[in-house]
Amino acid sequence: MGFDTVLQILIQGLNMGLIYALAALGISLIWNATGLFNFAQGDLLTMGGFVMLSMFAKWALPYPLAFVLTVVVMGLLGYLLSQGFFYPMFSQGLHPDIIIIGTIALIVLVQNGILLLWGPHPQRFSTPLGDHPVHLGQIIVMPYYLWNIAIVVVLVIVLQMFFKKSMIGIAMRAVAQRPVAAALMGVRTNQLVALTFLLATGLAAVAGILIAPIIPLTPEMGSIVALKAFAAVLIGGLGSFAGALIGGIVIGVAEVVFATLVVPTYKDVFIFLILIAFLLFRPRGIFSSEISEKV
Amino acid sequence: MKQHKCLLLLSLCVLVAALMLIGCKQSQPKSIKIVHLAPLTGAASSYGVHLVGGAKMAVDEINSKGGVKLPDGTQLKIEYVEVDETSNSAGAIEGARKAISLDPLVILGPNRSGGVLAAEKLWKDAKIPAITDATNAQTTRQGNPYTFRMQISSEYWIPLLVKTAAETYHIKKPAVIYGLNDYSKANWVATEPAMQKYGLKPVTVQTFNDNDQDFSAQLLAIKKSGADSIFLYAYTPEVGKITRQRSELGMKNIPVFSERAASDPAALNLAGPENFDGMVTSTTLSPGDPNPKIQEFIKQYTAKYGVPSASHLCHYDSVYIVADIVSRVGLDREKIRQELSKLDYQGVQGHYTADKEGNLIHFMNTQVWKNGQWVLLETENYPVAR
Repeated sequence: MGFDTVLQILIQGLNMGLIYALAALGISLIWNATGLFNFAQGDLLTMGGFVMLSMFAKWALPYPLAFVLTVVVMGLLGYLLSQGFFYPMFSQGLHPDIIIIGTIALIVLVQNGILLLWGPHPQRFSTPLGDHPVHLGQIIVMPYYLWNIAIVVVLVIVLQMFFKKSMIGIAMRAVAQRPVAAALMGVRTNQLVALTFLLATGLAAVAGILIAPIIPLTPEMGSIVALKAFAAVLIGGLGSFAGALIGGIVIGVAEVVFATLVVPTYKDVFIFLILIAFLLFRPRGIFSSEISEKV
Repeated sequence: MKQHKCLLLLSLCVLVAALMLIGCKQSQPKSIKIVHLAPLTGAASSYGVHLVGGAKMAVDEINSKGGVKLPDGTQLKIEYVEVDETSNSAGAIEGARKAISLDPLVILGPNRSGGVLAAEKLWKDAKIPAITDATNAQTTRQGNPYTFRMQISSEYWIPLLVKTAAETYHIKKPAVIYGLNDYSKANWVATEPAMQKYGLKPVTVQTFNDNDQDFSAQLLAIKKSGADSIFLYAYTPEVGKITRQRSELGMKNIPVFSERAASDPAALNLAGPENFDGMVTSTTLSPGDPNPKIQEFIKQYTAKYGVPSASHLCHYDSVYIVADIVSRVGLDREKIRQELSKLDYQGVQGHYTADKEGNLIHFMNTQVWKNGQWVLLETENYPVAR
């Protein structure tokens, strides 16, 4: 196998890895702010893609305007979800496992909502960057790969800084770790939950917009991507945005390499074997967030 | 006490008589019920739209003329009911159970080979004829006299495709990529013997799972093999994705040969028109067929439902076939089944003749997508084994 082929495989793996990383970032954000997994994050990502499809491909809005409007619309949806769905569960002190089951119910609602609004057929849209591959010697790169890399790197840096340096980000982490203590310290828990979900669905929208030109939009698309995104979060390290990025890339590259060198049919089995290995031997993941506990 | 007993007895008699009357009324059907098992959700949903559209168009036409005249002179309209088979075998079983519970005269569908194989025992036990449209050859070889096929098996889809590839396109080094499902596997099974007739052998054979999103490993292997053609057997979403991704990996000049899934407009939309030019497919109905009847039918369907997936309009003629049979033999399911088993009917899309396995179609075309439309390449008719 020539060097060019190896490089091409790595580029394809990186492309898929960024897709998983985008979905994983939203999952990590909600984990950081609430201590919970939102299993519907993949489906919110899909909805973001469909909203962009309507705005950009069907209503012919300019791409930047459609991008911003999609993020705003999805952010508002996240706000409504937080007030009508998540915060009532938090405020009643429901067990986290019950809230997680609630997010599974949300999957069904979101998928059927997509089915109702956009129909069952696979759809896609092109970006203004076009669909013509760029040849760099023997290597072929799609123009939106570089755009996706840039966006993901910026998102990781911004999110890391937000949660580590900003007052609101620190307050969100406090609510996730000790909601009662945070409330006693004057942190407005309901507002932070609302902000968390607003940000998370906005992030899902960005992910959906970037993924849609690569993977056709179908009502079930998000669930397929989310499963590997969860694996990326766990491999990369719970609570770490850099971990979500690295975890996504590890899965994307491992998937393509295994499919090329061994057999494509069992690549999913291979990925989840890697996950199991991490859970057994390094459960904190590659970059784990240290949460100190005073005893 | 005696009076109470008499009253009770009288009430019981009235009740029984009323129930018998209701029973009698219910036994006189008010419509010719056809239940259509179609993939309305899931990966095959883009076919479902056309399968249902074609059938509905026929139902609307027949009902607008007053319905079907039975042998006893009664005129009944067709009651058409769609049931979602959800594009997977488990959904097909549940869909078939629901369809049977609606007590139809005839079932149309399921569409997917896996669904037919999974659910065929249900309509066999219920003794309801089912006019399916899956292409796996085994679907009509289960010893089920109630299964009919308004399609032609993959044993015919592929030989003509290979013939076109070898004789018209002069391919020498074919690669094959197929999905791991009953439909695509059956196409692969039919490919090797078809290729052997032309002295061809695949330079590489690649597989993928349904719902896979990335095919770069398989496509890079095909590129490395030096293939001059790709035989692609998959459902529409994967046809679109693979056709597109082959261009993204610098293989746009390698022609793709596929089958009915590729004639779905959704495949073109997903692949992108610039990547779809030159796609060759086998198909039962071709929009490129110059036959005026077919052109008129395509025009009417397009006006009503939009651009069709021509390979999925077979149930337009299914509905007319059922209407014709019912007008001759009435509403007896067993008689309808017997008539289907000796069918000889000229429809809009072609001439239908039942063979001993219950297959009703014995013709095939190949077509190529050129300059924004399908162009007919070849047509073949096959002998009917009665």
